[in-house]
Amino acid sequence: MGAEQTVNGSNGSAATAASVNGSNGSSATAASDRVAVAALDPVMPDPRASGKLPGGRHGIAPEVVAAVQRQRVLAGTIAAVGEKGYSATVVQDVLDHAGVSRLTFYKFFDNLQIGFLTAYEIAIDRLAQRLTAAALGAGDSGADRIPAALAELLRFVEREPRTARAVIVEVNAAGLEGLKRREQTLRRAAVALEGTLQDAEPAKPSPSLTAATIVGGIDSLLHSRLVEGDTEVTPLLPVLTRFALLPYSGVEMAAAEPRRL
Amino acid sequence: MAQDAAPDTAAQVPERAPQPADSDPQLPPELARLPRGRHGLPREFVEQNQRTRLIGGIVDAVAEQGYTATTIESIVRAAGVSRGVFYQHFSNKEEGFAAAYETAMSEVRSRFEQGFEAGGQWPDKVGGGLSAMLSFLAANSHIARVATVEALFATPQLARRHYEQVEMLAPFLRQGRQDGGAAPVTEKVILGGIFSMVSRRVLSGEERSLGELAPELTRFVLEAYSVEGEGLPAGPAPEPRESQTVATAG
Repeated sequence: MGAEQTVNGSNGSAATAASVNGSNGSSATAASDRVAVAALDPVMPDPRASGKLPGGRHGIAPEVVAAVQRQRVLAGTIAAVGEKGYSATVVQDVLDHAGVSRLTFYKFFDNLQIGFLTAYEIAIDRLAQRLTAAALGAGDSGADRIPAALAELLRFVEREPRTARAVIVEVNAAGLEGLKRREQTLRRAAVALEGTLQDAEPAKPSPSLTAATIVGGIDSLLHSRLVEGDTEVTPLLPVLTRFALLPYSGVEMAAAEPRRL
Repeated sequence: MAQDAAPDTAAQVPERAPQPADSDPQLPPELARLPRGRHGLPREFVEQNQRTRLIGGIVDAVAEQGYTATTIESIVRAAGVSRGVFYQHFSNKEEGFAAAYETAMSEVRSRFEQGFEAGGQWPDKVGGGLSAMLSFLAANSHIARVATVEALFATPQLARRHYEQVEMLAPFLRQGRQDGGAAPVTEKVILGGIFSMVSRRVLSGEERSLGELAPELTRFVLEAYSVEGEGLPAGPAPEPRESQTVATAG
């Protein structure tokens, strides 16, 4: 997937990897991309972005080596699942993407499902951070923040289609636990949406049915685009913004205490 | 091995007492077993009946076990037909499931349509359609599972089919458009939101309470079409205003 960004992030484990790895790890294209997207931490970096650790005696602390390896396994899991689909993915695919041994994989995770769901949580957390940062940077009102967060979400799908496919489509195939995680993510998004719409802090612990339906609609639309293989989603921004701002549009949505989930 | 599924076609099976309608009360009467032995039924009727039973079996098996875990064996057992009969109708599980899914969805859609047509003005129609659809799903948990959950997550091909099926409801919503020019994506995202709420209730085993969602989902749809208007009355049962007001406000 050439469209995946291969830049290292500016913080977190990707940065650790970069510092371990010195200057020779990133591909040539990454250097030019870095300027453009320096502010953007990829939701899941390319598994090879950190480069290979030097072999032999390198004097790097074992914890650092382990952290880099773990990051590669996680990124490799997302890459493999996003590319082949969860049901078709086997551990060997992850190893191929991550460039680690089978032993290394099992050092961190007991099976593919656990590895994938761990990577899923990390990716969702990073995505949430990115959306929050975009929203907060856009202004003080929900009307400013919602479109900024949505634009960021669409940018994620376009720039990291493989990761998007893994976290929006394939999590549904990762057993009952996968469905549970997805449900949590959708709830979390609905709570955030509602809090932003009401300019309220902290948001209510359980989202209104309206907020949940809005989030469900957006998730469903992105899901349908991704199963079609269509990742050019930026044109959806106006419609999605209008849709997400529904409760904000002066309609007496809050007149009656809305049903909570 | 399922002994009752061994011989190939119904006509060749030695006579046995005709069985009553399948135990599942969800299944329509035509899913009752055919009389065994020489019954002189036209071939076409037998085949149609077998297909209908197979579809009932697929719905039950997939609803109970999930698409991935469902085997041809469990389908033919649930349908009370032989393996050979399955392969006369479908070449594999996915094809069988696609047919069963479409049957389930067309049933769901026809409930929506009936409820919709029974209403007066457009806002009423939307409420009627959603109520009828949700009550039907609440009362038919297997169909609810197949129509709103399993297809979505089974394979990408089936997920695509799911969106096509769901979008067949779009014209009913589109009647509420103010501007005619709004992006067709609007209906997709509204329908996606509705089906997302339904599928999440079904997944958490709360399908019996789906009917409760009708008033708020109705309000949601009406508001989605009145964003630029002066708004609709809040509350569970929106007044049936002249639909022109809704349709042209803005």
